[in-house]
Amino acid sequence: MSDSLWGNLFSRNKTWDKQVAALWAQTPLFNDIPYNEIARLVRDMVPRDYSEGETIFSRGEEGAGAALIVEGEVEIRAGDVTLTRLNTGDFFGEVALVLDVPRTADAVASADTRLLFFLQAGLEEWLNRRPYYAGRLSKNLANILAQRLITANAALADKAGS
Amino acid sequence: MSTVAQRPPVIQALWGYAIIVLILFALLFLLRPILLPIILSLLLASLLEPQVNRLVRMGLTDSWATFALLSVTLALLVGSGFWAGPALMDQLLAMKSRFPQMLEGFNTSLTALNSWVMAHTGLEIDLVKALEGVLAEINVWLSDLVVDIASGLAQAVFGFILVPIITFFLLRDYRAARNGLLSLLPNRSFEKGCLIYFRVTRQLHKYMRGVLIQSGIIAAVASIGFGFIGLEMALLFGILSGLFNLIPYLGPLLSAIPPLLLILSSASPEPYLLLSVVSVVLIAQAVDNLLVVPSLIASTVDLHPLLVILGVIIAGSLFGFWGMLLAIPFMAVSKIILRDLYRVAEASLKGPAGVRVGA
Repeated sequence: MSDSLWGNLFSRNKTWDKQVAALWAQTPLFNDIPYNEIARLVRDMVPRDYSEGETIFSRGEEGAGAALIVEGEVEIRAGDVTLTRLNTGDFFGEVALVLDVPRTADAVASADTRLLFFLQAGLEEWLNRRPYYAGRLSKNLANILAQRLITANAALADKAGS
Repeated sequence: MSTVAQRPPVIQALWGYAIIVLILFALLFLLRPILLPIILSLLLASLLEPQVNRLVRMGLTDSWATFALLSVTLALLVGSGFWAGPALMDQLLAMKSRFPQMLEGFNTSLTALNSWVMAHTGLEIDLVKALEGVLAEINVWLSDLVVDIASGLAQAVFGFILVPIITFFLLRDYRAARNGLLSLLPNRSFEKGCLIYFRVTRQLHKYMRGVLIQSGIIAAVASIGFGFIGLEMALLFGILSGLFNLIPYLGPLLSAIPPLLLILSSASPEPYLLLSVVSVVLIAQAVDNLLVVPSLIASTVDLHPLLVILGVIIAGSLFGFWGMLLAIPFMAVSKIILRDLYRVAEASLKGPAGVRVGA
C-alpha cells in the first residue's frame, strides 16, 4: 500500500499476484484452469481496500464484476438481516460477470478488508485473448449459478409444500 | 455525502459530467504538443488490437504479439509511403502552385454565374464577394500545409518515431495502466466509474475503428474513380475525400469542392469532367451509405441525425476542423456519461429507501 503512484500504475508486486492466484485457484470458479493462466489473468484484476464498516456495494446498484476476499471479512446483507459472512478465499458478486443487473443485496466490510475485483470487461477481454480457458471459467460460472437455482427452487418447493 | 444524495439526480449527473469534461479538457491542453501523435497512436492501436488478440490466442506473449504486428504494419506503411509519398508531394505542390490560377478561374465562373442569375431572376447576389473569405482561408491553409509537409520533415520524423512507441505501449500495457487509473477512484464510485469507463471506451473503440475503415474505403473508391475519369491529382483528391468523409453530412460536399475548383480553373472547363467528378463523389457516397455505414458505423453511435448536423456545425464554428472531426465521438460519449450518471444518481436516491421497505 506504500507503493508510489507510478508503481501502482505500471507494475504490481509479483509475489502478491501469485498468492492471489493461489486463492482464486481454490475457488470453484477456476476449476480445471492451470495456475499459470490464473496468474496471468490476476495481473488484469483490480485490488481495493475497505475499512471496517465500509459499504462495498448496495442493493440496486449496477455491478461491474466479482470480488475475491484476499484479506478480511465481508457481510452480505438484505437491509438489517445478515444473509452470510464471507472470509479470505471466498468470492461474491459473480452474477455481475455476465449480466448488467442491479446488485440483489448489500455487501459490507465487517473488518479491514482487501478485495480483488475481476471485472466483467476483464472476462470479455480474456474471452477474446484466451477463449479456451475463459470458456472453462464460463462453464464453471454456469455450474455455480445453476446450482444456486436448484437450491432456490428446492427452497421454494419446500415453502409451497409446508 | 447526505447533501450529495439529496440533490436532484439531473443536477448530480450534470455536476459529474462537468467534472469529467473539465478533466478531459485539462488533459487535452496538457497533451497539446503531442496530441496528434497520441491520436494517431490511439487510432492505430484500436485497428491493431484485434490482431494482437489473435496472435495471443495462438500462444504468443503480449510483447511478442505487439512487436511482430507493429513491425509488419510499419514496414507496410513505410513501403506505401515510399511508393505514394513522392507522387503525393508532387500533387500537393502542383495544387499549391495552381491555386491562384484556380481561384481566378473560379472567380470568372462565378462572375458568369452571377450575371446569369441576375439576368434570369433579377436577384443581385454577389457570390464572388461571399466566397472570397472562404477561398482566402483555403489558400492560407494550403500554404501552411505545404510548408508543414515540406519543411517540417524533422517533426514528421519525430512523429514517425513517437507513434510506433506510443502504439506499442498502448497495445501491450493499456490494461495495466487502465486498471491503475481505475484504482484511483474512491471506493464508493469504483464500480460505477468502471462501468462508465468501459461503456465509453467500448463505444469510442468501435467508432474509431469504423471511421478509419470508412475513410480508407472512401479514399480508395474516390481515388480510383477520379483516376478513371482522367482527373489530375486523382490520388490527392481521393485521399482528401477520405479525410473529409470523417465529417458527417458536410464532408461529401466539401470533398467535391477541390476537384471542381481545379476543373473550373482551366481555360475552358469541360462539363463532362464536372459531371464525372460529381458522379464519382456520388458513387463514393452511395458505397458509404449503402454498404459501409449500415455495417460499420450505425451501431457505434446512437444519435439523432439532426443532433449530429447541429453538433458538427456548432463544433466546427467554435473549434474549426478538429471540432467537426471530434463532435460526433464527443456527443456519443457525453450521452453515455450523462445517462449513466443520471441512472446512478437516481438509483442512489431510491436504492436505500427500497431496501428499507423491502427488509
